[in-house]
Amino acid sequence: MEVHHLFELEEITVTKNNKSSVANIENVTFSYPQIDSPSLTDVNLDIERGEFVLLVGPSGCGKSTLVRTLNGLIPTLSGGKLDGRVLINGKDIKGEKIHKLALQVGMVFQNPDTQLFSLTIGEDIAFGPENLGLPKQDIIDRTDHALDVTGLKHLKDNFIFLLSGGEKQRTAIGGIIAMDPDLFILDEPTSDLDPVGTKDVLDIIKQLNKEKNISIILIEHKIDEVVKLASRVILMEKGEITLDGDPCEIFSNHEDQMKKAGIYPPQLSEISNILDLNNNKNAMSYKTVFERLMKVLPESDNGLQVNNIKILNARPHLEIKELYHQFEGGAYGLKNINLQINHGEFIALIGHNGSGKTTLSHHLIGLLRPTQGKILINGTDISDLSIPKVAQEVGFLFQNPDNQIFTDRVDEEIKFGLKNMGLNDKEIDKRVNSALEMMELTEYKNRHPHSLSRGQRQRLAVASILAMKPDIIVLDEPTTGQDRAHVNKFMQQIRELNKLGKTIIFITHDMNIAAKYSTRMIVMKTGEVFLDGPTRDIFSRTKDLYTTHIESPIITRLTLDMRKKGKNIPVMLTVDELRSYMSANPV
Amino acid sequence: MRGLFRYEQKDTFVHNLDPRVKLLYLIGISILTIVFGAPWLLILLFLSTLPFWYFLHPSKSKVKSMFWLFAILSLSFIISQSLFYYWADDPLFCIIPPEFPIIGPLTNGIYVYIDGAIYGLIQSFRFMTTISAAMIFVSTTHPSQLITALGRFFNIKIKNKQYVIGLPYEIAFMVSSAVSFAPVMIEECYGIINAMRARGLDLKGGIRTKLRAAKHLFLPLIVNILRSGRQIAIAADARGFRATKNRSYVKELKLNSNDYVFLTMVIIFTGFGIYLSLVGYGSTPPI
Repeated sequence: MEVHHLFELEEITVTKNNKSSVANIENVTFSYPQIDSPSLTDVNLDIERGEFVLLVGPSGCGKSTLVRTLNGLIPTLSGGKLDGRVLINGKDIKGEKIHKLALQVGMVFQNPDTQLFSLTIGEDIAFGPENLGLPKQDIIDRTDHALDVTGLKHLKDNFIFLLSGGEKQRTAIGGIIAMDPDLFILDEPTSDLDPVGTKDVLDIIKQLNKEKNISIILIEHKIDEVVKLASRVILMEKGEITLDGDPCEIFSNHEDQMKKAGIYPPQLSEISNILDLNNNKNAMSYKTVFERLMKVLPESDNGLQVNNIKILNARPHLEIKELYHQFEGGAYGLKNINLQINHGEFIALIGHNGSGKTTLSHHLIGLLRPTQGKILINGTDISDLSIPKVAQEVGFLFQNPDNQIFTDRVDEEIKFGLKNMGLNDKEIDKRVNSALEMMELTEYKNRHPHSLSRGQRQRLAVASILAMKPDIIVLDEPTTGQDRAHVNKFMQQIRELNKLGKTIIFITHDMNIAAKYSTRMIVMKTGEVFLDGPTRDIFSRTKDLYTTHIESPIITRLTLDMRKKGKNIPVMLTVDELRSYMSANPV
Repeated sequence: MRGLFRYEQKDTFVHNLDPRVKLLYLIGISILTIVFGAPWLLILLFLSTLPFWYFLHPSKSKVKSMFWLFAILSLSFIISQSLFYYWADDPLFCIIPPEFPIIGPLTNGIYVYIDGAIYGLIQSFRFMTTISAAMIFVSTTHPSQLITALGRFFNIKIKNKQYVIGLPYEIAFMVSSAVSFAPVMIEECYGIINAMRARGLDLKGGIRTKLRAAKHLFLPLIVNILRSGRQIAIAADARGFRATKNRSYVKELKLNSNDYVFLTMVIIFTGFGIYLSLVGYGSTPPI
């Protein structure tokens, strides 16, 4: 036990002036310690009060570095050399303490688990103000306000570790609201969340901006969801700001540059570009695009290159019969699942968190066993087979690549599974080399897996699975937190595997990915198969999907609405389909 | 069984007592189980914990597992003491005679003593009493209340200066963030093990297979912990952790009238118990 004294309260006063600029970055160049090339090069930026800035750019472009100069994390914690000036509310922050800046600049990070410190929501929200030694009543008022804004009042005394990801992230945001900052920075706050959690978080950010006039800088890959909130878009590439302006203008006039940087414009903007709506102020409104399409799109039954792979003689690959799964507590995770999946199918398994997707997928490799019912692979019941046996038939890719890298060398990593299979050295080497080649990793053969980029680590995880030559590949949310260019590249590789005859089942929350790549969709809801059928049919059932909080892609909704108005056009799933339709049927 | 020592949110007078007072009660009871010697006192002490359970309305399954826990506990004490209670005079019967090869000469024969069985039963009350009191404490005290209590066990204001006795805040913070992060880490572990199994690692083998698995669990787990640790540190800094020595606390521990009544009872109860043990009812080794 230790006795320590509490001294007189030291007043922490913050001057909040009403000048229009909240933050200024002036000629900032920054290099991390022991790295020669600067991560930021001569950056100038001015954030005004009430602005909502969407900051985009490829991985490693310096987005996170840039925002961290605003609250002093860089260079105070990171070390390194920073030239130029950073001003918050007109005051140079050089030498300013991080906790003092925390009252003016709040920051929310990607992983909610590493930003929460207390056991209950209420305590966690009070954590910051308590640290600053604010008066008790002030802390209580701030906590209550934050609970109100985040809609967590009824959960105030709940344990944090029992919350969903979305609720945790809302708690983290609440903790920052309680600090009452003028500028709110959110670094990929929804990457780990499902669509429901994402929507809740974005609603709060929107409310803070609109009602409280708080300036927002948001780093986010889910462009479609956030673009309607932003008043300004900034593109960063290689440590420099290369585009900066009104979202509508940026996405209309610089689509190519954005795509090159791996940032895909929101679907509405892409469609308006095709329709030459770029100079229209409402180019990103559903109504404008819809009316334009109604006017210009010719009616036809042809012109849609449907990207279905023809399965000549469908043989059942995987059969699930009357499958039930009961958890320890007695609740049913799966109820009466009956599915037949044929060789060569490309299936998207969707549904919000807790719907049973993961529980079902874990049954396919034996990580979970049925309480009742059975699973057949090529006609063989797998209930008596060990996981290693099933693993030779079913490859399972988990969401986080770092949780599936166990060794300290790339080639050793691939050997791990092969050794478990008991293969001879010659066969192992052969398979390692071919897997490395297929995933374009040969040159990194001798590297430490953790020195690779996230995308490369994910490809390594796929290579390790592929080497075991499974015929069914199950992927659990393989695309979370990555920019669209990486996602497309990765999915393209999976499509190649599908063409080689592999059966693919992938879990995803990204409906544009499901629309683009899958040929069949299985929608789960409360442990049951809610919808099952060809992707185009499922996405046409917008009302049914809505009950599970799933929205069809915008192009699909547009074409469906046009058909409702009597226009004879096919249902489209992707903007590419619209393009090919329009070139087959010129306007 | 695990549910026996879990906090249950309820609104009873025990829940609403100050955690420090409850902690003192637990300490007091534990002291008495050690200093008491007379069997009837030990039994009475155990019985004194039972009324609390009446107020807590435990679930049937909890009562059932408590009963089994106590039954197993006293049974094992009774059996072990009946076999090895050498102070008794006449054994009830003999299990292994001294002539029995090897074990006989080693143990001088194994007998069952009725005195030993009784002694074991009484001893088991010491443990059952402490366990019962600990369960009352844990199931009525929110973990964060406990942490607050440990951090500011004793708080006094003299001439506008606050004096606090308790664990330093940094330690309390460490405990609380570790407790809240533990479930995340456990989930990560399961994830990694599942990924290993999906790559054909059979965990059903002997100790060597298990060691191999543990070795491979280590790398991703450490990488995760290091990454998370760094992120936690950054997030804590961004929220003013250790910004000032004058940290404020929303939750102030303050004793109310119920607490004072209970505290007085605990002090009298424990004091009287210690007095009894000193005047001849204390624990004395059986001769």
